Order: sequence, then C-alpha cells, then structure tokens
Amino acid sequence: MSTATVVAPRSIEEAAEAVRHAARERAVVLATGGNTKRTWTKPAARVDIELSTRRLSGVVVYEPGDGVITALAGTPWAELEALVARNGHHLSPAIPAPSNVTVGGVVAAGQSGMDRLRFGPLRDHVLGLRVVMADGTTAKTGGRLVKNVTGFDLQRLHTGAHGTLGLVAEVSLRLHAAPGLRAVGLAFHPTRESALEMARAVTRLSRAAWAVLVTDFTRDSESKWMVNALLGGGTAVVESEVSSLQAALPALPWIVARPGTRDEAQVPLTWNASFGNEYPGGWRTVRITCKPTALNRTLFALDRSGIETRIAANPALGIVDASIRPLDRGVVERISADLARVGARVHWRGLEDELRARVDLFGPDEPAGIALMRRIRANLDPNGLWATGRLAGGL
Amino acid sequence: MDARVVEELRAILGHSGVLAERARRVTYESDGLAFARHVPELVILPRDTRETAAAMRILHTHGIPIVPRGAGTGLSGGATPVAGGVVIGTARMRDVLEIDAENRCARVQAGVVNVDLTHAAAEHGLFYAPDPSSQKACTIGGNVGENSGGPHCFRYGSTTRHVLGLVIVLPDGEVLDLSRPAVDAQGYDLVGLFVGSEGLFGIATEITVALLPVPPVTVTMLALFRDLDAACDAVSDLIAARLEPSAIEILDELTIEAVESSVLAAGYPKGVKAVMLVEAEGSEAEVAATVDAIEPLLVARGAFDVRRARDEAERARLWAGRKGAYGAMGRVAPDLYVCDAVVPRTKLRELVRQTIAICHARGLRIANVFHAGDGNLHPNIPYDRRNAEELRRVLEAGDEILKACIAAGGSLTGEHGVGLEKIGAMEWMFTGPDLDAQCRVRDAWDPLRRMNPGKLLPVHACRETRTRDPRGGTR
Ligand SMILES: Cc1cc2nc3c(=O)[nH]c(=O)nc-3n(C[C@H](O)[C@H](O)[C@H](O)COP(=O)(O)OP(=O)(O)OC[C@H]3O[C@@H](n4cnc5c(N)ncnc54)[C@H](O)[C@@H]3O)c2cc1C
Repeated sequence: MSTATVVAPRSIEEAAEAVRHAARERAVVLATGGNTKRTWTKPAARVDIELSTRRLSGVVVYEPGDGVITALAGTPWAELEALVARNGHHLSPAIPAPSNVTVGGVVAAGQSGMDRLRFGPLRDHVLGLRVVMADGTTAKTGGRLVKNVTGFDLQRLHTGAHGTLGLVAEVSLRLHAAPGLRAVGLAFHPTRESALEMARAVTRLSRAAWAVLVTDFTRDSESKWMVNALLGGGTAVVESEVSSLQAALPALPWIVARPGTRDEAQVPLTWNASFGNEYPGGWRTVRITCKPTALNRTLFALDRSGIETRIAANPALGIVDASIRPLDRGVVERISADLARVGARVHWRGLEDELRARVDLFGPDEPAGIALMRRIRANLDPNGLWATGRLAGGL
Repeated sequence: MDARVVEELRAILGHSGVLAERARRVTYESDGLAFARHVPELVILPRDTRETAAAMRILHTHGIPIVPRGAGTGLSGGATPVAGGVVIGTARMRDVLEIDAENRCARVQAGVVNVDLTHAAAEHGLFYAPDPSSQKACTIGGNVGENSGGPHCFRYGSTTRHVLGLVIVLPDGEVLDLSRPAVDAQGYDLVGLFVGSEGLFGIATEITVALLPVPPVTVTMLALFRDLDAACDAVSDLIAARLEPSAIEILDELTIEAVESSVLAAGYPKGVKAVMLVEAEGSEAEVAATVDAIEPLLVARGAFDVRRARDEAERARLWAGRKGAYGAMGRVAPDLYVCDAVVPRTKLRELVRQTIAICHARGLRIANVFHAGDGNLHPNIPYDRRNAEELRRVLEAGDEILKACIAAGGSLTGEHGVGLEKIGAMEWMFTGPDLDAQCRVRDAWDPLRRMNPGKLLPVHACRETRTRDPRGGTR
C-alpha cells in the first residue's frame, strides 16, 4: 500500500488512459477519493497504483429548475452542498463533510446520511454515473433524469461497491427542497428503554422527522440517555408538528430554528452521530443494522458482551452506531458473532490497519448471492485490475 | 415442444400447471405491445419457488429459452413469447405471504396483483406506493421486471425504491434468497440491480416490499387550461419552486374527450385544451401549505379554473378518468401505440410540442396523457393495426419522438421498459462500452443467454464487445 504510485488525472479521459496504462502493465489499481472511508473496507491484498479523483473535480451540469446535479467524482461534497443550498436545494445524504469528502467517494462507499428517515438511503438519489471500466473504456449508466428505466440499473451496482467494479468518475444526483424551517427536540432519560420509547413515539407521530436518535454519549446516570430529534420542512409544517408533538410528548422540549434568531445556529442540519470519530481515546465504531423490531434484542446482545460502548441508535431504521474501546481481534470477533446470532449485521469502521487486515469487517457470514457477485466482478474485471479482497466475501 | 420435456414438467407442475394445447396457449401470444405476436410453444404456471426452480432446472437441462410473464400488461414486448421458448407465468403465485405492519413491509408471491397488495395493506393503515395505471391487472413481479412507475411515483419514487428483498430463481434453477431485509446491501446490491432487469436475469418468485403509512389528509386538485403549453410551463414552475405534491399529471384535449365520452367520465370539462391533476398528501398543515403554494402558480400560467375534489367519491372519479385513459382511447381507434419517454423537466413544453408536430406531419393524431412532474411523456398514437401503412407511420413517429427526447437530454423509457420495442433504439442512447458493461452483467446472471432472449440488449452489441480486451486476453 505505501509503495503504491499515486496517479491523479484531471479529466475522465485521463483517468481512462491511466487505467489502460495500468492494464498494459498488469498493475493493480485502487480507486480513491479523499480517502476518508479507507477504513470501511479491508486493506487490499495488493495495490500498485492509487488512482485518485482528487483533481477530477467540478460541476458538470446544474440546472436548478430541474432539481438534478451532475459533478465529477472528486468534487468536494461540501462544495456541492453549498452550491445547491444557494438555490433552495438540499443535497442528500446529510453527512458531516470535511473538505476531503468527495461526491464519488460518498457514492462508492454507499454512505447514507442523518436525513435517511426522511429522504431514504443514498441509492435512491443516484440517478446516473459515468464509470471508468477495467478495460479503460468509460461506461455510462442511468442519466440526469429523475425517472428512467433504460437499460439495467448499473448505478445500483456501483453504489457501495467501493470502486471494485470501476472508477466512479461522474455522478448525477437528485436534489430535494431545502427545509424552510428546522427544529430540534432534546430530552434526557435515565434508562434506554424510556428513551427508545419516546423516540419511537416521535417517529410514529411525525411526518417531517429527518432523524430521531437515541444516544448515550454523556456519563451522568440521571440523564445518560438522550433523545435527539430533528424536524425539517416548510415553515407551517414544522411549526404545526412542533406544537402537536409538544402536546403529545410534554417531556420533549423543542428548539425551533427561526431564521435570524439565536436558535437558528443551534439546530444543525447534520451532526456526527458516531461517538468514535469525535472523541479522543481510541474509540472505534461498528455499524449494526437489524429489523427495527429487533432493535431491543440487538442492544441486549451488545450489553451481554460486557464491553463498554457508546451508542447512537436510530430505532425507526434499525441502525445502531456503537463505539467501543479498546479493541483487539478477540473482541471484534466475539461481538460480531454475538450480533450475528440475533440476526443483526455488522460493519466495522475505523479499525487500525493491522487489525483491519486480520478481522472480518462484515461479520462471520458470507453475503447471500456471493457466488453471483463474484461472477459479476469477474465479468466486469476479468484480469483483476481493481484491488480486491476488500468487501464482504473477499470482493 | 418436445413431448419428453412436457412430460417432465407435468410431473412437477401437474396438468393444470402445463398448458400445451394451442387453444390455451394463444392467450399468451402477446403482451400490451399488440403488434408483436408469437404463439408460445409451451406455457407453464408454477405455484411457488420450489416448483419454479424444479421446472427451470429441466428447461436448463434441455437448453430451452424462457420468457417470464406476469399479467402481460407490459407495453414494450417484455413478455412477448420467443420462438422455441417456454413462457413461465406467475398467475398461480397470488398469495400475500406476510404483512409485517410493525416493520412496515410485506412479503408477496410474484403474481400478486398490485391493487390486491394495496388492499391487503390498507387493513393496517398502510399502502404500497407504486401505482401504475394498470394496477388492477399488473403483478408485483411484472412491476419489479419493469421497475414500473405511476402517478404517485412523483413523490414516492418508482418500484425500485420500494423493493427490500427478493427470492429469485436463476436460469439454471438455482434459488437465490435475497429476502432477508437489509438496511444496506452487503457486498453488491443485487436486489437493486435485479429491479428493472425485464426478465433477463431470472424469475422473481417472492418479493418483499416497503409499505408506507396512509397519509392523514389527501387533496386532489383539477386545473383547467386553455392551452397545453401553459399546462407544461406550469409544471416546470412547480418543479423549479421545489414544491412536493404527490402527483402531477396532465391530460390533453383528445384524451379528455375520450375519457368524457366513456363510462369513466370524470367530469373533466370538454373543450378545454389540457387538464392537470395535482394531488397533495400529508398532515393538515402540510397539505394546506402545498395547496396554497401551488394554486397561484397554476393561475399565473393561465389556469382559468382550479377545483378541489370535494369528497372521496369525486377524488376517485378524477383518478379513474386518468387511470382509465388508455382504455377510453379505444373509442378513438382500435389500437393505441403508447409511447414512453423522459425529458428534463425544464423542457416539457418544447418536447410536448415536438411530439405533436411529429405526429401531425405524418397525418397521425396524438393523445398526450403523462406523468408531467417526472418529465415522463406518454405521446399516444391511435391507429388500426390492420392498416400496415398506418402502422409504419406510427412506428416512424415513435422513433422520431424518441430521438427528439434523447437529443434534449432525455431517455428512451421512464417506466415501460425497452423490451422488444426499443431494442433498436438502445444504440441511440448508449455507446458500445455502455452496452458492453450491461452485457457483461447480464452474462454473470445468465451465461447462456436463455432468459428473455432478444429483449433489451441488442445482440450484436454484446458479441462485438466480447472480443475487446486491452491485454489481448481471451474470455
Ligand atoms: C392500460 C395500461 C396502463 C399502464 N400504466 C402504466 C403506468 O402507469 N406505469 C407503468 O410503469 N406501467 C404502466 N403500464 C405497463 C405495465 O402495466 C407495467 O409494465 C406492469 O408492471 C407490467 O406488469 P405485468 O404483471 O403485466 O408484467 P408482464 O407484462 O407480464 O411482464 C413485464 C416484464 O417483466 C418480466 N417479468 C414478469 N414477471 C416477472 C417475474 N416474476 N420475475 C422476473 N421478471 C418478470 C417479463 O418478462 C417482462 O419483461 C400500463 C399498461 C397498460 C396496459
């Protein structure tokens, strides 16, 4: 990995040329963006060339009246977010995006955001892609249209494939209406159960909820469990939801981000739900997913492991980001196995390179359909150009 | 069909599961693309995954091509039988297997009719969002095959957004169980890839779909326009203003006339040049805000009357007119060529105009009834298939319309699929490498290319590309 040559093309054609060159040299290529999701996959068995989209940056088409944006893969996510916000658009997923988070990386990693409850997962917003294939050609899939069924949905295949099937070079995304008003509700509970109960009540009663989380980042035992709910939408909609939620759940106070008031700054559009990335002390995160109704069972399995955790749970979606320390191979494997037994899935993120190489980041079981996935990979990359051994099942 | 094959299949599916007599096979000679016909050599109707898998293993052994079929309402020839092949129908796979109200999902057999799922979900205060106009007949399996849409997909998205899991029988009879709902796919998103694969990857036998809570308030508005351009511009304005009603549909004059003189008369006033149906759903406040924002935009573009359905009955009638529009066109001519194309929503007026000009230049009439909010045009051309010369002009106009839409940055199809109908047009939109990637993915599912051959992918595009390899390796 450290000996890999970094190549940073400035155009899709240059990227394709670099791939053709690598193919002739029989070099193994790792596609990278800002490298912020490096720890989401296993380290590749071998990398000769790191093909970086760092300089493959810029908006290709943005027609505000159409609600679609197309950008080159290396465009910083934050830049796109700011651009579309000026036209009243919201770019989903809402993610914490330091300047090195790129649009191509978000798509390749299949990253969903804080706003998933309201807008759905990332895959719903990816309308089309241009991908540099292993043979050095460029293949288009989908388009710049909100509705389109021409040809197979290969964009679904590349979204979340971490560049193992091609270099995502250009992305078209669907945009949404920016919320006219936001509000955040915060409440503290001594027990997890009561916090989860309140969170579920909010999702049941609300249509404007972007996120409803339960976290235990604070250590004060009386207020250890926090419910954190974010609403967004038209001004009248949010105002009326806040008042009906206040009536139904008096223990949940709201801050409404009225424009021009001090409260506006207190309600962020997104916040980092994973404790591990924000706090010092070697916390590492595992993303756990399960059926929403299996959440309690999943959390009990985590409790039983006897490991100290900090969690951010999204009960409506069945997603838990658990931060854990300190970690060794035994702990990772034991937690993965305990969770697999209750039917939950894991995805370890943020482990050190050495540990990452030795443990299974995606749990003990191979994904269903792995043989077919391998055939797809073999057909799209017959000579093994793209760095391998990184995803579930060794893809 | 080889008598031995028929016997082997009968042993698994029983007599009623194997239709060998010509009289019973004729019903399957086409789907909604009426001019493409071929009486299939054999039709089989398995009852579940196990039977489907066993039958497909036999067909695999004998190297027989397979055409999957739901209700046969498809409009692009996706279910048109192929010579020497077997049609596998899902008509006996009609069970709603499970409604999990708490997790808001349902598991159904592929042959469940779209509207039956909606009815089953309604008991739990839930609904299934994709609502093709054919929803009283089409199957969830067919919807998955085509990635179908419908008026309310403007807000909720097409079928793919609502499919959580699948059980698929692969061409060689292997069962691929992707039914365990996953928040995100592990490895590659095979479920997402399968939706819209038009029967080329395998047969879906069980489908897990997301259900949504029925919105507390629904308001349906009808806006009347003196010209179609104005209605199109009004839609572009709604999109630019980032408003989010749940449906935005337009019907033109010829369609209105046909609907109004049919049993489905919805009370669309005759003599207007276009009506727009707009629906807003949500909480009281949400609907009020949406409606209040929409009305002035419509009026500013020249809507001279904006009405709201007063009650559920009027609402249902307005929608019945829209959803029955194709049927009503039967009064205008014996056949209807239903075009399906997509354009950027900033170019609606321009492209709708072009479709009209293209038809008129060929002495054809045109009825535009479309999912305007998604830019999904349906320029429909009435014709009589017994008139070969007219059919030629119709197909020529269809091609011209598609070319115009592609030139404007649009696409060949928004919901009806490529099938047999648009296979030749794939190369207008995709380059060799684009199609090569699609062929390679298809070959991973179906290396022998026995599933729905001759559909969606131009054959020569695939053959050409198999020889290209920068390292000179052979495959
Ligand atoms: C009056 C009318 C109105 C329509 N309105 C709309 C509309 O608003 N929106 C829209 O999107 N479409 C519409 N359609 C088109 C059509 O109804 C849809 O494409 C529908 O999804 C087809 O379903 P079906 O069960 O009839 O499938 P079929 O026509 O039988 O098959 C469709 C395709 O899917 C494949 N297939 C079927 N079942 C399976 C399975 N179990 N596994 C894998 N592949 C399978 C077939 O091989 C074929 O390629 C309309 C059609 C008519 C006649």
